[in-house]
Amino acid sequence: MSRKVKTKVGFPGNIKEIEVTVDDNDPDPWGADAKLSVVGTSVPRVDGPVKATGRAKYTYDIAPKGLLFGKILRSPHGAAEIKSIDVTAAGKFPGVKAAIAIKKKGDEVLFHGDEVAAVAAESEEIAEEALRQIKVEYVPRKCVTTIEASMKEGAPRAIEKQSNVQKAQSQGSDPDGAIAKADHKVEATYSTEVQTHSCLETHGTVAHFDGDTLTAWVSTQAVDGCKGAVARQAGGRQSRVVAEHVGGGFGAKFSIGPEGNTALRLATEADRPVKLMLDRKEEHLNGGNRPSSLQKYSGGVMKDGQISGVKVELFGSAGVALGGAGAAQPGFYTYGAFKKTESTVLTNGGGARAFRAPGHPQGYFGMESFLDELAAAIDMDPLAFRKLNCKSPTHLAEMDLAAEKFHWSGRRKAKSGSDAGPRKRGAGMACSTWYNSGGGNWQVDIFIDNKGAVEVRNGTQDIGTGTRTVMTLIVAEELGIPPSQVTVRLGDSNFASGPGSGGSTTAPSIGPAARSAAYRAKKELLSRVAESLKAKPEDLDIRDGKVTKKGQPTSTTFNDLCSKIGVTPLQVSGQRQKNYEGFRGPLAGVQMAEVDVDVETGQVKVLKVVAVQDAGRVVDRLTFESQISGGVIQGVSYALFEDRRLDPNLGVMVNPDFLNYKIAGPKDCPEITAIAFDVASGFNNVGMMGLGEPPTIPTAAAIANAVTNAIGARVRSLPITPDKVLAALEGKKP
Amino acid sequence: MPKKPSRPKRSSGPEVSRRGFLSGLGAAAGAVAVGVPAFAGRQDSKVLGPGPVSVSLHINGVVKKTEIEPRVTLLNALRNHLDLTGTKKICDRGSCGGCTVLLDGAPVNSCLMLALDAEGRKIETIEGLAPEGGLHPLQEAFCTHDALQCGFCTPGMVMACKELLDRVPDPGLEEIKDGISGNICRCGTYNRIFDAVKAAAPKMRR
Repeated sequence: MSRKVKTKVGFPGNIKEIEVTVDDNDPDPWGADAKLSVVGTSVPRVDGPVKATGRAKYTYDIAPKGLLFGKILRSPHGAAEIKSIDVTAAGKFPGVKAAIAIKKKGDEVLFHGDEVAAVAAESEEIAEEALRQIKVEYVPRKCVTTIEASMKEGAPRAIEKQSNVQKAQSQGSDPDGAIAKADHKVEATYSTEVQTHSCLETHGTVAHFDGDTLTAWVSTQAVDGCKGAVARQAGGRQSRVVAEHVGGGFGAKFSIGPEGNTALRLATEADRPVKLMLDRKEEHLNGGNRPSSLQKYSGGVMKDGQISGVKVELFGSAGVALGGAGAAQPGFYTYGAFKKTESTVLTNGGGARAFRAPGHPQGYFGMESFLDELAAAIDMDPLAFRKLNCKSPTHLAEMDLAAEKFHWSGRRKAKSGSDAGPRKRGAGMACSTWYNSGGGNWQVDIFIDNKGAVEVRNGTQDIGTGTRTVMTLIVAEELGIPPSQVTVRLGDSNFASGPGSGGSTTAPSIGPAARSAAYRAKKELLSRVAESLKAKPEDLDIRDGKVTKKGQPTSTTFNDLCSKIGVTPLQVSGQRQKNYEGFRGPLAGVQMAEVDVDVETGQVKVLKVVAVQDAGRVVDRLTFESQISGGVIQGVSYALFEDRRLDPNLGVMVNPDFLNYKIAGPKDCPEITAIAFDVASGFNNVGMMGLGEPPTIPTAAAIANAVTNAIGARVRSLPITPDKVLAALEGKKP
Repeated sequence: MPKKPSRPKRSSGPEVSRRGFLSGLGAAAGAVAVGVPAFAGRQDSKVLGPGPVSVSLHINGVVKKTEIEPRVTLLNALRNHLDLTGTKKICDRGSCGGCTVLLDGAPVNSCLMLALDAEGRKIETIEGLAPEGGLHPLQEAFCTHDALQCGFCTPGMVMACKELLDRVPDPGLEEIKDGISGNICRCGTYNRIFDAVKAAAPKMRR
């Protein structure tokens, strides 16, 4: 059964009322005018203490009795055929309990780091030593490591049975005519580097056959996605996947992966528990990466600032992965005619994986840089230019707010490169969007005991995004009790299935399910006291720990209700309902950055970033701001430092560590102002949307635009390293 | 290299540095050479290994004994032999700070040091900062300021921050950045960590 409910959606100045159909098991949605006491405040992360004291157990920390350590032997070549492989000596090495070949004679290895064989031994040290006892003969062949090299006539094939450039996909209508008629025509080519996810907890699994159950602790962002592989290895036995705490994911940890499957095989072979965690080098080689890109833009702009047409030709390399190398452009600008052609180019590198807003940071770097170049062609301020060509009300409102908080008119140089002296400042901006308001029919279970302790369970995982905290606040709000009374348990396949942490959908998928479960538990508890309180159940609610009757507090408390529960806790489940039609489409973000560039050394320093971001309803302002800040810092790192380098002849990664593969550190952090742009999204009973990905999308583009404003020359290639800055200055004219 | 060359010596124990480790292996009290000929002529060295030897380590005020091969790092000894998994292995090459522990009060990358070389030294790990169930003021500040996300860098960060505040009781922003410049956080919580250090400083001075 369902009912019709009117709810207010939108943001101040742009509120509308919509009617939604609500399932009778679901509460009325929290609209723009909802009065909430916990949701929307700043509450410290609930798993803070266990992490800050080092007591949180990650997969890396799990050590069942009798534990063995697994290690993988990997290809030292960019591409080779395996002539022979022999693990016998390794198997006999003292302390080794299992040695397996992953590849066989005649197989190919396709990149530096491809899995070849593995051992499990009594200690990490012995396992590492035993790898040297494995005998493999390779016949190396020529490899290709970059988009440019792979596209050259006569280039060796990355994968023998595949042509290097996969068939191009086109979308949109031909803008040639529109561009030809424009007052100014602009062409530019941009490129971006391969960025590795570099999760601090590397990929890995602890596999343990215990009695009739195979338990796999996996460092994963998708407990549900690992279940199949573990169940297959368990054969007829029970299986279980656990990921209570996960040391980062960023898109690289959706499956158990080759290393997890190897751990399962080794544990089976040795009949002992096996821990197999990648080391840092392996993590760089085959732990996932963001594809590189080569982006060719041509476009036209009218004197009055209207864009008449844009044409994009894209090439992306996901290494040996056959797809996933596309780059996305913002869709909230009015381009006139727009056409994009996109090709995947194969190279001999570890396969790309989804990486925090796949395709977006690279595509937005290209398009948002190009927008600045179009604006420069007619000598127009890039903020004014974007506003003129933007059709999204949320973006327009956010641009005004960002400009005010950042003081755009003061920081933006009217003439690029006009600062006197060798240290020059400049300001730039870029926008972002994201799409997901969650979904799925996930179930959340709530257990309430007679002391009033509330336990919430679901199989989904918290990879540092704050899922556990967000669910705690939502349940506390719905039950009218303090968050300290609620414990959320996640990351266990013994609980009801939960969403994988991808597409920024975890919180908006599971949050509304948690609210639904809490609502049903509350209804159940209240129905039991309705008679004694001489009230209709629908007139009762709980606020501040007290039962209310028609909004007025009674002397009955939540804990009084719970005291009648008995020895067996009350168990209630709630289901995620379908999305309502909501307020508007994608969510919006705007970032403005100020940089300082030393034109003698080429060094770029990001001084300040203002990020205005909409995430629907913000549930916890503290974790919201942390997500923004983290997204910006990863963007700074992408813009200035990170660059996976493969030797062009050998295909060997030359910087597989944290010394030569640079990641932003404490001294690289700008001052960051994260501003929540609150929008009641209306998509679900909480009104929330996802936030993991959007804040990292526009940062590199905003920095690149700021660098141009500082020095009067444009660097069209990420990362913006000192040599590229100096080269751009010598080439002058952007 | 020592992270901060200007750091005053905090104990009578020998200063540990990578250079010292490389050139003087065997010179420190209780240290060993691992049967490498170049070191064999040293008068004060004895050859141990390659099999397991007994080692006693002074960790968080308690002496713990275990049997390890001489090649085992302090990090692996803590994690794999002594069930102290709060200290994290992230890069295993001394470039991320995730395995930071305090050795006689000074921060070291426990991945770059052999466990045997830590004999006779006072080792402080994340587990020793506060009694179980309690929080050190710095840990509390990390929580209230949300200075952690996935939490994997956090133990190393907390130890680096603690040493900084022991040495510089009222650090400015640049001093904080310098103090933890050897630590990497992939989630990008740095700005929150700066806030947490500032907030914890007055409480630790008390």
